[in-house]
Amino acid sequence: MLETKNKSNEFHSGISHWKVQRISAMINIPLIIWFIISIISLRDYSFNENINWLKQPINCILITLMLSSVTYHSSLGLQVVIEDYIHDIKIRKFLILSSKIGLFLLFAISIGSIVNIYI
Amino acid sequence: MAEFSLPKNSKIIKGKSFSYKGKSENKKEFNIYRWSPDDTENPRIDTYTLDMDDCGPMVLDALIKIKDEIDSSLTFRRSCREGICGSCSMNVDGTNTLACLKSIDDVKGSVNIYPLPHMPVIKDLVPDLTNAYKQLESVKPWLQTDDKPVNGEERHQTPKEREKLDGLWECVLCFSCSTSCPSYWWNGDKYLGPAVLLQAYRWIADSRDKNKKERLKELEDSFKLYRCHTIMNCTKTCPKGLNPAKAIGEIKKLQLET
Repeated sequence: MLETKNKSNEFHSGISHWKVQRISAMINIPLIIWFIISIISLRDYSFNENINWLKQPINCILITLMLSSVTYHSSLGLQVVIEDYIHDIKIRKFLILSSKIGLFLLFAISIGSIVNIYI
Repeated sequence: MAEFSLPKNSKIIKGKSFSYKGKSENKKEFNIYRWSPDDTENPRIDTYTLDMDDCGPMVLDALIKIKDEIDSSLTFRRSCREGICGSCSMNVDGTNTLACLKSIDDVKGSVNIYPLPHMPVIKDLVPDLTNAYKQLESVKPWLQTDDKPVNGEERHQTPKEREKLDGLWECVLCFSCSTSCPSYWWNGDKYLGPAVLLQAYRWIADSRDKNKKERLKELEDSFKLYRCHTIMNCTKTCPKGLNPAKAIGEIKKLQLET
């Protein structure tokens, strides 16, 4: 039946989550368009060309921004999907945490690889 | 987890068929969901064939004709038969609507009639709306103010203030929208659903109501309001042509501002 009281941390503020999800989505749009255009305009996709492309500071900065924004937006989106479908609170919390850790690892590996180019 | 398949005793089986024995060429078949709490049988689809030359134009007319002339055990809610009371909401031809406002001619082939989706069924086409009514109560759908009306008169509104309620006051609470919303199907116990949120906005938008802040605060919750993922089924299905999705959007906008 209807639950009006905030029990067991099941609920959280809606507006802040909703707002950052929209803002990160808007930041994603230009960055992803830039990324797709850049990838298409690479000439032969050889290892050296890719590395050279990443070595240009502007590309390096933009791709870092894109990775941050995309992984953050994904974690927010996955959280909503998990909240929608997983009704058991313990399993839900575990899955949300796992998704956040997984996405953070993905982000860390990506950034690590970019830094590795410069070392 | 969300359940994606029906339990065994909920599987719908083929039911009785009441064929038309007259001479009319203008016939129409009605496939209607039947379930009774009085026996242990599975829900079934009964088929009734009607002479359209001897039947009113709306789906509700056909239901009343079936109940009167063919099968008096057929159970459904109805009252005003002109789209004002919101009683006869059901799923006709795959879309939630009011049976009294749905023209039979709009349905190609036979007419499939089911109760509102994803609600407990009391009998046949009658869903249990207890939870939805409780949720409506929770948004306090009445005027809240400490001001006394001047000289004991009505509380005045400018035409502009009154305009803000257009598209909101017309809702007849048939819950066609809420029961068409997948998000309400999965989380109907916590998500308030489009019908109730439209009612909540109806009072937030009312210039005479002085409890706007409290109302907005009450809805600031990841489940009550923010399970709306702008699927828009609510707006598509509303038999009164209202836009609950827009009302929900307006609540979110106001929450951003405060």
